[in-house]
Amino acid sequence: MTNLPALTKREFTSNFYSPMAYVIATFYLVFAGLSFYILLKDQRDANAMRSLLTFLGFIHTIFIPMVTMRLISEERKSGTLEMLVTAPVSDTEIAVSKFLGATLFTALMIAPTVLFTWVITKVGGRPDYGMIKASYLGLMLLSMAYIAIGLFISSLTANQIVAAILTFVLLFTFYFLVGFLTGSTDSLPLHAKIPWSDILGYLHFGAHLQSFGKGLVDSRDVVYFASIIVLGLFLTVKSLESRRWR
Amino acid sequence: MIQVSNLTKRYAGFTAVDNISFTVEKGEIVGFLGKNGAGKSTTMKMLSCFFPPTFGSARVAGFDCVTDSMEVRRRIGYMPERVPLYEDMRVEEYLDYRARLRGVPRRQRSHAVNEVIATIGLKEMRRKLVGSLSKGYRQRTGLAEAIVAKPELLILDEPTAGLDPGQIRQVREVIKELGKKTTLLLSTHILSEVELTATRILLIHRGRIVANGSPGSLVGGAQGTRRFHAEVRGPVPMVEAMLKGLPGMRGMSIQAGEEWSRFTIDTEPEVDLRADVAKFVVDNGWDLRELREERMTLEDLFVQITRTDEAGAPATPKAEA
Repeated sequence: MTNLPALTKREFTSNFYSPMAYVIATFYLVFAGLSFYILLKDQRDANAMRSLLTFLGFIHTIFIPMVTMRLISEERKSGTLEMLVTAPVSDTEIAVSKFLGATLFTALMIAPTVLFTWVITKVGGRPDYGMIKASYLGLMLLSMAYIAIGLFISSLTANQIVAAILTFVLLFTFYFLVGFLTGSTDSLPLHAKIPWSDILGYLHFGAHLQSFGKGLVDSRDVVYFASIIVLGLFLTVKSLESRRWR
Repeated sequence: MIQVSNLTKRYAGFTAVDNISFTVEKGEIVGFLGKNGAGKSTTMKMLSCFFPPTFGSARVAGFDCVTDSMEVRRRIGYMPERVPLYEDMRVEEYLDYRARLRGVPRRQRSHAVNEVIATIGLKEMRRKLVGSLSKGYRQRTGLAEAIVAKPELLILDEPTAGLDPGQIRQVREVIKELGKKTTLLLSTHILSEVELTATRILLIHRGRIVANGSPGSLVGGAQGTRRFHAEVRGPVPMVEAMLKGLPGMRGMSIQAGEEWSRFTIDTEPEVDLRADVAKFVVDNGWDLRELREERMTLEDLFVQITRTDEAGAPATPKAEA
């Protein structure tokens, strides 16, 4: 893992060479700001922050695929992947560095929303910092799980648009559809319980974010997100290694 | 430095490299010749550990390209045909990054980058974005990247592809200089280039090595016969009879014209019949307009081998250096 710092630095800084990253970050902040404004009008207290972070978890199903779509598919298309894998660098280092680079960028994208807490104090609200910290931790873990999935999808194709759409469909399914089918989300009516709904309910992203929103850091939820991250990275390494089997 | 043994690469329904074996000694500059799609790049990708062979083995500096891939990658500099580079980095920054990945220690990195920039002639471009470079400078940046960590073996896939004649000459000079310090495997389909730079040639056709030797030994070995051209004004049957009577004749073809006729004469390799032909023509009172020997070039050899194989005959390995 000696090359990890160099690879991660390259991965993180490469975001700022592309106008796409600025566009994504700007839209994200505008979207988060508007959502916060609407929520704040409704609930003039710390709940606005909790609702916002839960809502951002859902919105990340759209924004994270835009961050991850280029991670490997761009290198595959431009041929730089050949340069990378023929250098003395392991496939694990490549996968982990790309994951860390995207994670740092996402953290940077989310960071300005911390200021919203200060806004709450200015309008007379009393933020519950413990709950907010837990919500941020949950949002970051959720985003990292999204990134690991997006990274794997990006390793499968040289087409960034295909990578983005596939990642979005997968994230949307696990955040929204699974919750809808199993009734494991608070915000949706229990339409129909389907077979294996308990198992599917466990896979539902949103369900694992709920305790963080209440200020609880449940180890089961942490393990759940960590498992998805490890699985995504493992599959990415296997996908990179697949050139050796073909 | 390189030991390739029964190397084969198969894709679905297609054999790109078919059971090839060869060795490259330390310090050699070996030209890897072949048409587009002959299997040059596939072989180089296997040697650079991009993908493994279907069968057979490739070893670099004693390390297996599959089982000791990391050791092999530490010892090679590889420049793929497309020269993929990070367009968003500056030349200097890119070379520093690649030197770091290739294990050049932090204290030596700046010196290594400056040295390679001076060697390759990138001084004026060092602060430029890679994406804004011309084709020639991109090629040079790729070359600089391949040598920045001072590898034991350099694998260059079509290093002059797409360059103008001036740029080709510059890159060729750089390659010649590099060849003095390191072992070099260089692929190209430009024959004149390999004649000028390589000490040995591997000719690959349809995934098989069909010739292996120095440029001189290959051409000499392939020639087998000597060929002369004569353009004579005189009665064709009489000239033909006279030429057929000469010692060491192997064959002849005639292009009869209204006035001048062209005779192409193949003889034993040791026979030079130019003096005899000139004497006969003059003695018989005919006229001679041209009398010359045809020297076979590497290009002729290449065409001869690839055409023979395409006609259905099996391509046979030629002279071993």
